[in-house]
Amino acid sequence: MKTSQQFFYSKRFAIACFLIPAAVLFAVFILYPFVSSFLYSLYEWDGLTRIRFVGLQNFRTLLFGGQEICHRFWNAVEHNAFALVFVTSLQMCLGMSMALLLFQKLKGRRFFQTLFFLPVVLSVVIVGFLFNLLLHPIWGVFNQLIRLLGFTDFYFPWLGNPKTVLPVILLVSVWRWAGFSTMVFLAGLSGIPKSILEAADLDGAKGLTKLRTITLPLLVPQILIVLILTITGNLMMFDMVYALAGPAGEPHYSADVLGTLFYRTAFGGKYGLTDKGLGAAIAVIMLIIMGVISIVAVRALQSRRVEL
Amino acid sequence: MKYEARFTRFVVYLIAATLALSVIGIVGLAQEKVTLEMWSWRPEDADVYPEILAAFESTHPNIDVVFKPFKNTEYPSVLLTSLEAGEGPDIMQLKSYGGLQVYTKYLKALDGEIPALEGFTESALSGARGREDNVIYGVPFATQGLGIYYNTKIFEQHGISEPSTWDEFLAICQELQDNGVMPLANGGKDGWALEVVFAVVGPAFYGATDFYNAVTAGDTTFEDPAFVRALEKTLELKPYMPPGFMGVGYQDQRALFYNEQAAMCLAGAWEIGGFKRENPDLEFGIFAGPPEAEGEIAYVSSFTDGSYGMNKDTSHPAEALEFMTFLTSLEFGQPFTDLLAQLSCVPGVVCSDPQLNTFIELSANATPYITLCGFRWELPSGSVVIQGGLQEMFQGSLSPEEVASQLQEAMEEWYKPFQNGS
Repeated sequence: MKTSQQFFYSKRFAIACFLIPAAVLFAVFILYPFVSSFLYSLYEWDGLTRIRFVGLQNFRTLLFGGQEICHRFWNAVEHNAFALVFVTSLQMCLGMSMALLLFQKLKGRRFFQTLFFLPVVLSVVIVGFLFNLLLHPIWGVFNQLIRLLGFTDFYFPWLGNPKTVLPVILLVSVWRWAGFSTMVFLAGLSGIPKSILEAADLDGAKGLTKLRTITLPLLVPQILIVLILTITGNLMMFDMVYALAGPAGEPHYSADVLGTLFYRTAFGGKYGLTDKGLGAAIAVIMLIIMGVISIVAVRALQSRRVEL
Repeated sequence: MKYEARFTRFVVYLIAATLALSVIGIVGLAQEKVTLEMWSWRPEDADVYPEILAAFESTHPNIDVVFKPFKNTEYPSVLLTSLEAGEGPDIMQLKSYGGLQVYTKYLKALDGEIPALEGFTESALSGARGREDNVIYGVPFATQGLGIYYNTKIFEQHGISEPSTWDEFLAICQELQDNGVMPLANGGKDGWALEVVFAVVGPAFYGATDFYNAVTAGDTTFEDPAFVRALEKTLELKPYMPPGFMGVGYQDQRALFYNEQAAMCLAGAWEIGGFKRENPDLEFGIFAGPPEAEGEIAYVSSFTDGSYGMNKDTSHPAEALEFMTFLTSLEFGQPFTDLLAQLSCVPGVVCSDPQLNTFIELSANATPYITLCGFRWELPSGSVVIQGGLQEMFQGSLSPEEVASQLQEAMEEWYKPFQNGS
């Protein structure tokens, strides 16, 4: 009796009490969907009735099935991999360069800061609508300009050509998010003590050497944040593809990614035919890929981190 | 204390008595008047249905029909959950073809129950049939047809009239293009709009309903030369599509046509209302996909939008059946067409809208919309596969033969008649 009373008045119990609301929210909104989607991936389920337990069959169909859905899956994986490399490298370089530029005491710095960040606050629907118009083959400004300048070889239906549609969507995505990484890097740059930079100057370190040996190592935490966000953002990519190429990444799945494939399979982008089990399996695979890549990236960078 | 307790007891009795009386009252009323619940996925029709149903309620004063719509995307699961629980409405809207199949075990088979159904075209009824048993489970309410819209003013300006053969059609396209007019509004960015193009052009070349019957029975395949030829013929339209047509989506093609920038558009009957709303000055006519030679039949690919089914466990079977019979009558079909501007499946409906009327007339030569009616049952659906194939074909990366074999291969994954043969 005494011990239980002691427990109720202990600090540990109080702490546990304070954790309950968060734990409940976590359980309901993160843990439950997480576990249930994993369970769903083990069923054959057309979205209306859960037909039967099939074990890992859904995963086998996706990965090695050789059927239509398997082609779509690998096609989407390829696009995601391309997006990952393309967007991450471009966004990092662009964000870093813009941050370094803005860090110089230039005239109109504030103005450019706002300008670069502006696309981030635009809704993806607006961005999609805008670029659909700008890139339109008949009345789009972009093609009119190309025609005016006489580069007729580059007169493309940019969003209708299977070769250009994905790169164009990714470029729009970079355009939209570059401002965000710029801001994060800029904040990191402002956090670097002046004394260190001055000391480097005194030691005769110049331009690139200073950047490589002082600035970048001190920016590792910011680089990590941007990297993780870009990686997860690219693997979960859905909205931009949906806005510019529709739920099937048209034409003919040229811009299809795992996000849109998942959406179509689980919720039936077309004709209400769904397969919740297969859809959940795609989601689980996405999670695994994302987890592995993120952990590897974090580990690799963490070792380069410098403590001040 | 004692007084209080007695008072409380009195209040409780009073409430109980009131409740009991009102329940008896409701039961009494219900015996006089039967209420049929009718579920739908079209909330946009909610204002109009009471008007359409008034004719029934005036002749059947003892039956009250309540129209209850749900959100389109949620409707299938709401309906199934309710039916599985042994409840569900008395009358319900049912999707066609593939979308109907899970519900059939809860539905009343209508063969022989409603004589008027015999007057409906087979193409309309096919959407309401069970796939396994071929039984009719619903009264089809709306049908859709696909054809070629043309701008009357542009045709008159260039002294052109409706073509009667495929070659004439191509000649018209060429003439318009030579005169600086964009002949076709259709683009390829949205695969399903290309599928519509194929369904307008194709039937005349693959052999319409005969081929449909053969391929759905597994007697032939999509690799049949006739089907490949239909794809080749569709590709002949490519030079007449808008510049950069692979970037032209469905909304763009509509805009090109109703803004009178393009002379023709291959599209479905559902566009009529929209075209008129967007541009009230637009004057347009419709013709069917032209046949190869003069005098041959000009087919219209068509499909059933949906049907009304009846719950087999309804508590008012007689009244529900009476209502179902009403749904097959002109008293329902006529106001349905007039007020909702949709093509009713009821035979004999006359239409005040000239364009809709054209579709009704052309639909006399209806043939099933092949990829929808025959192959939109399971994943990957024939529609999804041919849409991608057509995009590649118009893009120039697949030949018509390859599109056909791609479709055949994908259908063999689940289409039983194909599996048995091979």
